Amino acid sequence: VRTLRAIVTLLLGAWALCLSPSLRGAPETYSADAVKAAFIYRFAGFVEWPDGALSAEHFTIAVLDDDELATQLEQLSRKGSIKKRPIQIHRLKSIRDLDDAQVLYLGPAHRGPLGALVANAAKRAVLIVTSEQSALDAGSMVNFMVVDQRVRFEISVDAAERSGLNVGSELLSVAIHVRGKRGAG
Amino acid sequence: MRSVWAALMGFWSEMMGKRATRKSVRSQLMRVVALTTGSALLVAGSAMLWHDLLVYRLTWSSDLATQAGILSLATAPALAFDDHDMAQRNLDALQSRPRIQAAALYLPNGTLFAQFVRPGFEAPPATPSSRLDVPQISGERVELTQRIVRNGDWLGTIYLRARYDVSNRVITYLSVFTVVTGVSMLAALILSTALQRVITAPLEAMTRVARRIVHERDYSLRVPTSSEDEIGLVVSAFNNMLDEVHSRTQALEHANARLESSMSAAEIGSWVWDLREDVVTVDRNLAALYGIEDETALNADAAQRRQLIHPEDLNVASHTHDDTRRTGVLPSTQFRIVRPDGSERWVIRRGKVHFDADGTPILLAGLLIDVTAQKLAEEALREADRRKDEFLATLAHELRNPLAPIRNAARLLESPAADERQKQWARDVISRQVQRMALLLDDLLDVSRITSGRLHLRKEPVELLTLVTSAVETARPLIDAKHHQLEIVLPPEPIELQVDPLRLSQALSNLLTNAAKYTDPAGRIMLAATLDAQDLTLSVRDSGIGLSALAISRVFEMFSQVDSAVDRTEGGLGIGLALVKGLVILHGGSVGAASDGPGRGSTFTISLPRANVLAMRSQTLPVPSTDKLSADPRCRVLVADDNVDAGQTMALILKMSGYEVDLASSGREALEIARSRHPHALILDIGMPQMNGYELARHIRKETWGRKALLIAVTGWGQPDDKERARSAGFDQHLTKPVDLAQIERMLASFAAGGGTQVSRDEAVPGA
Repeated sequence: VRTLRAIVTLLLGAWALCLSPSLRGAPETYSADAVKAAFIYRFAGFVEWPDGALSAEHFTIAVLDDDELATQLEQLSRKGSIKKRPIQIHRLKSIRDLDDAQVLYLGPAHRGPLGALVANAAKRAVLIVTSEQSALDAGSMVNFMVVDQRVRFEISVDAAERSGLNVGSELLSVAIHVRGKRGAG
Repeated sequence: MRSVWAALMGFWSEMMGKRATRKSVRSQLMRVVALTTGSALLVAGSAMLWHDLLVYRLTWSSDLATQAGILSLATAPALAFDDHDMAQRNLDALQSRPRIQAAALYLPNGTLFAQFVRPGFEAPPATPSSRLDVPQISGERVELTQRIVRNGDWLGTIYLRARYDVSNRVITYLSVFTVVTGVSMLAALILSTALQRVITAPLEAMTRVARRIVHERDYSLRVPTSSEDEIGLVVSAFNNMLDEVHSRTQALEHANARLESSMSAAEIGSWVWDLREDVVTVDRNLAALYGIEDETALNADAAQRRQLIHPEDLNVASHTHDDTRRTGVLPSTQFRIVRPDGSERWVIRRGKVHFDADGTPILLAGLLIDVTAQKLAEEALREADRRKDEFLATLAHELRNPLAPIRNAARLLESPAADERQKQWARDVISRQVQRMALLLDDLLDVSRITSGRLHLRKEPVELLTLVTSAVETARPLIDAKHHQLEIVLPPEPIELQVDPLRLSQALSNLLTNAAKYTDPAGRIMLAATLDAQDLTLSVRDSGIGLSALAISRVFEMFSQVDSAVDRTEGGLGIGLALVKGLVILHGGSVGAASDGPGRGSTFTISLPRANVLAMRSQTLPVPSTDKLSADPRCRVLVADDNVDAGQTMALILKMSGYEVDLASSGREALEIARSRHPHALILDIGMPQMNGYELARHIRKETWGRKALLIAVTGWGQPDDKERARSAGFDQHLTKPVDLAQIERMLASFAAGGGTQVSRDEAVPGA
């Protein structure tokens, strides 16, 4: 048993070593967009979508008005999957292009009021991530902000629940501000 | 509890090897119990310790892995979203886990993200170890490094270090094990002490009995039986064995006691001589032969054994060790033992040599047999034989002595030159010498009868004076011949005795004759009778040659004569005094001899018990006359004897006495003569041819004339049976050869005087 375990451990170690160079290739300090892309990518792991929302073959992340972030996301999408589905990045020209996506990132460069965009998107079960002041008031679900030069985020549980999404408590625990029934508001 | 303690101590000593010798079954059982229990506990304890350590390790590993997993889950969001504070808070929660010494979170690129260090412990490494997922145990700590992966996304690495308290655990375990082992052993010993009694109690009982038997030799002891298992069987077998030993020992002791008492009765002692050790062992009987109480003294002391052997026999007795070794034979020997009290014993030693396998003599064993009685008898026989030889010589001499004068006298009678006076002298000589020979032969026959127990007394009342007179008359010729002066002193009152007058008178006359013989001429002889409360004592005292002390002790023995007196006496066979003694003893009395020494005279006494004295009468009976009876010429006598000389002699003498005598030499001839002559008296020999005396008597008694005739039987046999036979054949008198003619003459005279056959059969016939 021990020998077997030793062999398994050895194999696992070897596998890990094979994987590690691609991961270590990441730069020492990340750009805010890279961090945000990573965060968006990781949010999916802590949020549950209603059953019907994940019927498509792909896990789609839609990006509106932020090419840089989209680029970062595309880079990340190549290396893995979310919810056992390959990742698709949709660069949206307009909110109307929003089709079957599970995550929607609304870049700060959008035209028109955020509330309208959110209202349009919130009809679907899609996690709305923003990166501007008072976005939660406009109905955003997760909103990035920079605190002490570090990328942090705030979450509106209410908004997410209204769209049928369930934000995991783990995610809530690392949010700097949670609005809704489980947060301070 | 004391026995448990004793058992423990015994066990301890056993283990320490202090009791190398004689282990009791109990302690051996204890040892077995202790060793088996101890071994079992040790094996079980070791296995359990090993198992416990394994489980402990596994538990710890999985526990650490669980903690790592929980922490991974908890810290995954903080890592995922780069939240230092959160991560730190998560790690700080480990404060409540005292075993965790340090913890750390690393980013996938290896940089330390957050850490937790318990005060006093080493900080976690700056970069994570590459050894993942497997707890690393080094000394007192265990480390685990794990990756934190969430949704396939490697978020970072967690490191945990905890105290791995295995030595403490082992110490605790060992102390628990020691206590448990101690208690278990104690329990096992207590239990086995209690349980093994079933086994050891009978064994110990057996051992106690066996020891007592060895010490006390009491084979009647038995071990109590309780169980019916193997031990019970052993105990009962032991008891059966004791029964057997007991009965055999008893049988052996009885046999030994019987043998010893038989040997003691037979005066036989046994001895064993171990040649290799040169040790002699004798038994009690042999010691008794030596006259010594304690046989061990004899066993120990060879010098004493030699000392007790008669000096003259030492050469014979000391058959040496070397001789026996060389020859292998121990000859049977006779020797004398001188006991400590001085008495001598004759013994025969017989033994047998025992050899070992090589033929070397190793043992002598045998008997010592007391043959003193046989030796004495042998010596007595030799002495008797010697005396008989002497006697025969004496007898021949005594018988030959009278022959010379008789032959001379006969020649003188034949000589025509002899005148009547000379012829008368010759006749006197012949008569005297024949008388002397007859006396001699009578004595001899009487002694022979006494010796062979064939002499029977015919007791009748008789006056003492009659006896004395008769005895004196017999001895008178010799007394007168030597001119001795005889003095007779009797009690004044008459004394009547119940004795055989013939025999007692014979004894008394013998004493008188003896005194006359051994006293020089013109000596003095005194015969005295005294009566006291017990005895009637008749003593004959002389002034003769006397007796030495040795002679006194032997004077009454057969064939003994006073040697120094032989030359100067009238000779004799030396049987006169023996005859006196025999006759007196037949009367229940005793004889004695006394002397003041040689040359100073001697005194012989006859003591008769008062039982022989009937009474003392006042009147005096007339002394029977010994005057010559005048023959009645009208009396016809027939003498029948096949010995013609004897018959002719008797017929001649009776004719000379005036009787009409007819002579026959056979029974038939006698009957014919008798039928024609009708004799008044018949003197018949019994042992005749053709018709013996008994038949002749019967025939004669059938005749009318014969019924009144006096029939006198003359035989060589004097037994009561013979006399009775003669009487029943019709004889009136029975005479034993040689016949005293004077006695026949008296009978005939008495018959003639009485005019019939009424002659008293108890007639006293004095003289011989």
